Amino acid sequence: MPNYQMPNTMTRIFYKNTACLSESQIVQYIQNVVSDEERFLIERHITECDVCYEAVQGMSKLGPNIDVKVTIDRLAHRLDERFVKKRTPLMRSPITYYSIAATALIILASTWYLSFRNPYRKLIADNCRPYPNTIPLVRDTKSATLLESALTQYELEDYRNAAELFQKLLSVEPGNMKGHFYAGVSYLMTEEPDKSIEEFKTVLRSTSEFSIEAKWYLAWAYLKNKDMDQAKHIFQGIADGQNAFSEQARNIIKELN
Amino acid sequence: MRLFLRPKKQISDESLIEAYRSSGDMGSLADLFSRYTHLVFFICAKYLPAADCEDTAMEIFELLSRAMSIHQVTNFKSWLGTTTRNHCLMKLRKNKGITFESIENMMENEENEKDFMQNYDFEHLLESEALVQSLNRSIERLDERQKLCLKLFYFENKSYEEITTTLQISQDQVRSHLQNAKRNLRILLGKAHYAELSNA
Repeated sequence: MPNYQMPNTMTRIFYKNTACLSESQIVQYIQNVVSDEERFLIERHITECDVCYEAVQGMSKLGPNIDVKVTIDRLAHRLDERFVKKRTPLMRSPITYYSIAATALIILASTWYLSFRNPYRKLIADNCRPYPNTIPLVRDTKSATLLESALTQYELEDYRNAAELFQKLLSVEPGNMKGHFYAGVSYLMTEEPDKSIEEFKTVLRSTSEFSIEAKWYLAWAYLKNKDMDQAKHIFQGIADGQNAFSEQARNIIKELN
Repeated sequence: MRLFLRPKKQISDESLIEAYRSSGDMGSLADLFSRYTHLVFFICAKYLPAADCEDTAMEIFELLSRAMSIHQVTNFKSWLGTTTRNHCLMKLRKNKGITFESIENMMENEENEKDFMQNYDFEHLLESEALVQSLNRSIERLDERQKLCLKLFYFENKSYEEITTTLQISQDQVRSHLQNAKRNLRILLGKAHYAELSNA
């Protein structure tokens, strides 16, 4: 019986599966520019590996007109463009989802804040002051009228309570223009310009002593409502007249322009 | 940055597939494909005109990425080879497109084609004198063509080309004889080693 034993017989035949052939190995093998040992290792691999065997067959079919390296490099770039640079992940880790959600929330909040933020905020803060109480008050809580109680809260700058009390008063005395006027100012201070506008309009429909004041604050209420045209129109009317607010109104119009 | 030209060999195909499937990490998919870009291109060249190979390879990678997001792939290299071959053949037959059903069938076929003897580990027996004797006996029991190819290739260091010339057979036949010879040797050696262990 012949003896096939060689120093590395078993490893030559029963080697552990090796990595697939590289582009240069395949090209050099087909061009027959590999050493005997390299050639053996390549052929031993393609004996086992269908993918590499077919690849070697394919390479051998490519004519000299094809620049293999350039073509495969170009293909690699196309894959890079397709799968790396324009990636559209199907799923992400929970942490990534939380990050995306937090970012979205911040963007939404910022958008909301910027869209609702009044661009005339500083002008309003610098110029729109609550009208002082001109009505003498009875400080005795037992005998104070509803108007006096409301005005007391007004003087204390508790405009929310004041507005509630003015509404109580107006529910029983709807024609009380003082009540409407100070209720309007209170709403202006609690950032409820819509309600404020209604109160001032009621005052202006009457022949109240607070007409010019109501006009002045109505303009501010429109400005708080970001109704620039209405506000400007009313300020202009005040500026054109001769009253306590004319000078201020002219300055405001300059600022608005 | 050309990730496809800088494959990360240290991570297994299975790990990259898992990373892609679990988190949609396209970078893992890119790394995986980069290992096989040239092989897919060359296999396309086996079946199709050279001018069609680049675009066909792109189509194949698209198919693979879609299929991998849906299917569990256990033997990527084998699946890649089969998918590439089938897609090329389908193009040759003017059948446009490839269905997911056909991909599923391919995957099932791949599973069935696994050679259960491939993983038989002879390395721990390399120093065994008894096994070397078994090897000699087993080779003698092989089919004549298989034995000749085995001797010429593994023991006389002849190339495929030289064997085809010597034996007047094709390269495919050389490869087939070598594969069959190895498969039969594994079986014979496995039986011999089992008998050896039984007698011990």
